[in-house]
Amino acid sequence: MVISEQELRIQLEEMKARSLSDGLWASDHKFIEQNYERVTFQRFAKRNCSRCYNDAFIEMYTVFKKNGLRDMPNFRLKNGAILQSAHFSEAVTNSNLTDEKAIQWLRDNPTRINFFAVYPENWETLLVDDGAAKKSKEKNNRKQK
Amino acid sequence: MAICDKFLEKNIQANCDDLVVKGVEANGVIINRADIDFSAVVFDADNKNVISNLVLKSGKKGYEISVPTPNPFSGTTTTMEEGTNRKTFTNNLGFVILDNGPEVAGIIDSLANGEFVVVYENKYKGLQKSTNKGDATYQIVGYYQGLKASTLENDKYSDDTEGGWNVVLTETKSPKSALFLYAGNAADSEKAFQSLTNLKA
Repeated sequence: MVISEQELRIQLEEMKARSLSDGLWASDHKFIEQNYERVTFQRFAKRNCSRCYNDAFIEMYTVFKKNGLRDMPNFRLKNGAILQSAHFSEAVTNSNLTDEKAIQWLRDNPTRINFFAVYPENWETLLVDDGAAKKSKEKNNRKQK
Repeated sequence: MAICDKFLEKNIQANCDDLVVKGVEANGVIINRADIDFSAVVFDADNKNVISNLVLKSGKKGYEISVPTPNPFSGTTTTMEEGTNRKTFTNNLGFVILDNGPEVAGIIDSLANGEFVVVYENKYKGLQKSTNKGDATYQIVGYYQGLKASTLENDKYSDDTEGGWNVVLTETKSPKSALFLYAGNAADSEKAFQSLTNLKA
């Protein structure tokens, strides 16, 4: 189910109140499973762990407070990989990765596509075509490795 | 034919500008060695004791080890061992788990039979060096041969573990004395470290 930014904001605030008092509900756990990746751009590992949902909620809340609901990029890095380039003022991780940054970095390092867990099938085309880079924001097929 | 690390090329001296200190910080990262994407890992071009990107396979992550004790990761050592063709190194990583219960038992069972890589943060970081500031901060063990459990002990009356678990993971026959995670500067290295556990970096 696609959630709006306003709905997300309301839900997170309600969960915050519960997390500070009686604890998260089972429905909150379900909400986290469905929306964690949408907010943080990172996969939620569902485990039998008493603190995992609470930690995930804190992460969601913090990221959402800072960034709001961002467009999901078509590129995502594997854990442990960071992008460094003279083009960037700071190292790029999944928290500040955009399609433009990914394409810019790959133009200098095309063999390093193996840094990415998710990228469009036509990523090589995007490296040579600035117009296609903008079109990649519209949901192209994403290839997951 | 290459001669590997056989000749000294630098002076041996104390660092008086940034005095070395003992100890390890309380938080490290443990990774299933099978989750390392070795083909994507990047070693520093100028120093083969440095990894700049410790890349994990898609969908995989590292897990935090938190050791809130006065001497975290006590028992962490590196020792040279004799070998047939060359000398190698044994890495021991020690830590206590101040907890017990079914969930912890599941972790212990995984530690008992698995093979791991751990990245820990030294208290000595080398931040005052003239070049490569901070390159001593994050140290990697288990990369070459994997860390395997050599001690997993629960003593209900131990003052050291308070009823929790004493853990020692060991890597034998590592060809390198030490391996560091360093992405060219201290800030980027911290991001690389944090990105191992899906934390916001």
